[in-house]
This record gives sequence, C-alpha cells and structure tokens, in this order.
Amino acid sequence: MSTRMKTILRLISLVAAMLVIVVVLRVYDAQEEGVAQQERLYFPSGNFLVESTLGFREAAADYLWFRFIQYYGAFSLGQNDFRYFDLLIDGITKLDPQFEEAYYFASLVCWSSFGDIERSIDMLKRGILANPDKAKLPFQIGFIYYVIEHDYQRAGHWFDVAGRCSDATDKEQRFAAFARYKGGDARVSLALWKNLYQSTDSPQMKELALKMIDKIKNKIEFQKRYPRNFIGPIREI
Amino acid sequence: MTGNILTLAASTFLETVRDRIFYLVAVFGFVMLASTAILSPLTVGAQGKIMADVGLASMVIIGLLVVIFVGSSMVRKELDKGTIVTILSKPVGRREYLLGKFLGLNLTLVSMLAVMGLVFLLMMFLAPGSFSLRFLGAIYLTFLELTLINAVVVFFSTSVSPILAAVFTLGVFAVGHLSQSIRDFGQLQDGLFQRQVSELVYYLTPNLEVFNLRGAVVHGTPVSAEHLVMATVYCLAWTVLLLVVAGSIFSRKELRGE
Repeated sequence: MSTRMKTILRLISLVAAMLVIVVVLRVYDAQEEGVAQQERLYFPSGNFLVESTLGFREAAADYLWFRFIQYYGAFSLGQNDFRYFDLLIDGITKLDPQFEEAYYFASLVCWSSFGDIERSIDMLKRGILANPDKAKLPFQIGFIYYVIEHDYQRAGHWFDVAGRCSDATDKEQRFAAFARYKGGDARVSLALWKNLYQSTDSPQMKELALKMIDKIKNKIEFQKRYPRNFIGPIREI
Repeated sequence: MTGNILTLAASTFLETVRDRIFYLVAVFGFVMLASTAILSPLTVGAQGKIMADVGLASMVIIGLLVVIFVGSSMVRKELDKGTIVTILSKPVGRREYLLGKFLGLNLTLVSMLAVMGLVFLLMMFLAPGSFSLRFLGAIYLTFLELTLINAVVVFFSTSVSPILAAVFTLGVFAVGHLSQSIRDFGQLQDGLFQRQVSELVYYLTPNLEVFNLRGAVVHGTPVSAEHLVMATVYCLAWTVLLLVVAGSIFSRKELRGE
C-alpha cells in the first residue's frame, strides 16, 4: 500500500471515528429527552456541599449559581417545575454566605415567579444576616414594601437601614425620605431631607432636597393651621 | 553548604522549566479568559466575584497539580536514573539534597504564582470595579498553602512510591481542609475517646483553612497583617517539621549503587 493511500485511510478512519462519536451522542441525547429535566439534577444539601468542596467553596457556589441561572431559564421556558429552587439556593448560600446576588435574585424569583412576597423578604433577610453592612438587600426589602405592598412605614424603615450601610449612597436616604413622606410621617421625612441636603455633593440632589423641604414645611404648617377637626374657610398659605 | 542547596534548587527549577511546567500558566490564562468572555452572560451581576473566585481557585488547583506531580516523582526520578548517586558522591549531604529539591520546587511555585498573579490582577483591573490590592493577601496565603503541601509531598516522596506519595498528599490536602470540621464533629460525640481522637487529628494534620481567605477577600474583607504573620509562622513550623522528619527518613534510606 502506498504512503498516500495510507494517509487517506488514516484520514477516513479519523472522520469515521468522529462520526461515530457524534452519532452515539445524538442517540444518547434522544434517549435522555424522554426523561424529565429535573431527574438529571441531584443536589445534595448545603451542609454536605460545604464539607465536600474542601477549600473551593466559593468556586463551587459559582458553579451552582450557573446551574441555577440555567435552571431558572429552563423553568421560564416551561421545561421544569423549579422543584430544586430551595436546594440550589441553600447550596449556593451555604457555600458562599456573602453571595449577595444569590439572595437578591432568589428574592426576585420568589415574588415575580411564585408571587410569594413573604418568602421573598425572608430570602433578603437571610442575606442581610450574612451581609449586615451591604445596602442592596435592605434597600430591596424597602422597595418591595414600597412598590408591591404599599406599606410606606415599613419601606421607610428598610430604606433607613440601607442608608446606614457603609456602601450606601444618596439613593437610600432619598427613598427613605420619600417613603416616610408617603407614609404620612412628615416630620421624619423633613429631617431626612434636611440630612440629605447637608450630606449630598450632588447639586441636583440638593435642589430636590430643598424642594422637598419647602413642600413638607408647607404641609406641616398647613396641618398646624388647619387640624383635622378644623371647620371653616381656608386661607391662602 | 548553602551553595550546594542553592545549586540543587536552581537545577530543580531549571528541570521543571525544561519539563514545560510553565505551560500550565497558559492554562490559567485561558481559564481567566473563559471566566470573563464565555461565562459573563451567565454571571447575572456577579461577574467580578466569579472572576475572582475562579482565578484564585485556579491558582490553588494548578499549584497543587504541579506540587503533587512534580514533587512526588522528584526523588524517585533521580533514584531511577542513578543521578542521585552522582550528586551524593560529592560533598552534598542528604538533607541538603532534600532541602535543595524542596526549595527548587518552591521557586517554581513562586514563579508560577507571580505570573498567574499578574495575569489575574490584570484581568481584575480590566473588569470594572473588581480590582483590589486585597487579592495580594489571598495570593500570598495560596503560596503558603502550596509551600506546606510541597513539604508534605517531599516528606512522602522520601518514603513511598510516587503514586502513593501523590495519593497521600492529596489526602492530606483534603483532611487539611476538613480538620476543623472533624474536630467540631468529634466534640459533638459523647465518648471522651472520640473527642480526644478528633482533637488529635486536628493537631496532627495541617489546618489548611488557615490559608483559605479567598472568599472573604473576594467579598471585600481585607486580610489582617496579624493573620498573615500567624499563617506564615504556622506554615514555617509545619514545613520545618516535615522537612526534618523527611531528612531523617531519607538519611537512613538505602540508595542503590551508593
């Protein structure tokens, strides 16, 4: 057999081997298709994962995070019933308790996909226990109370908590002041706006704070002059 | 004496360079690139954290592979080739030989970690808002962890075959990361014996969690100078202990042709 012929035979055998590999994988995938997606997934408990991943807990948490995102994507497309949600989140947060985004995203999923506000807030509170000095999580609780529950008092409280964190910006204080105002707590709101006016470096924020201070002062003045039991003509103020 | 050790260390380092060990640094670069370019759509707001986690974990894994695969066969290779006899026929003590080998592999480790560290810091610098000099603390602790593992593999390589040395070292790595849990588990037991055994295991195995502050660093907690000093002292103590015992075993070992 000539050298050229041998080379051709080798190439053919390579292509044939590749074809066999592809065909076997296709057959395997076809067989797997009948099996429900979640049957492929097995997630041990978070405590087990912490011990079994040795010194690579954070990297393992990242891997589970990828799986979680894909799993959620498949759930959104109706390919699974999301039954491993709790196990996955438990695994991720046990492996890396400071993984803020995991709590945040899980909370988002709880209220947007399950409509379970209580669980959503609980998820964020779990995150706060592990990350007490991060503004993002208490701010999100405040946001849920503000936007979904319309409980402005509680929203104001959580925005306050967020505002006291070391990574807080003007945003948290602004929301706290707005929420207090909407919740009918004009005096606290006024104090918060004044505080924001003093602390902010942003000219726009100063302008907004000044506007709100005037507005609230007028409101307080109005309430003073015209209490709830007031009967009579209202003068211009 | 110091000259002999340094010569041996340099030759061990050059040997690893000739073995193309540094190709693994390219693997590290690829892993870092993959964690940014390929995985970024899946990170959902955690790109910086995931890049840092993957980078720091890859340094440990690559370093561990180098230490185990190079270290476990280091002595055996020279025994098989007979070069050890030539070296020891010169005025080089067995303990010096062992120390030279250890330092040579550590030099390889330092060089690899330096290059990987630079690649890592550069990638973190390019990712907005992810760069921090705190990572240097985590990289230094990784170096200490791998130095200790290097001493462990040198210890085993003097007494058992390369495969067993590799397996035992991996075992020490696993137990080292679990020793705190083993002790905690032991303390929960009723029997005094179990409690004492778990306590014994805790002190007889290196606690590698001392060097694992990667997660804390990634989440913005700085490594205190006190911790760095403590970890350095702990690593040195274990390294000295292991090398002294390894030296004793090796000096009694019968070598062919000597």
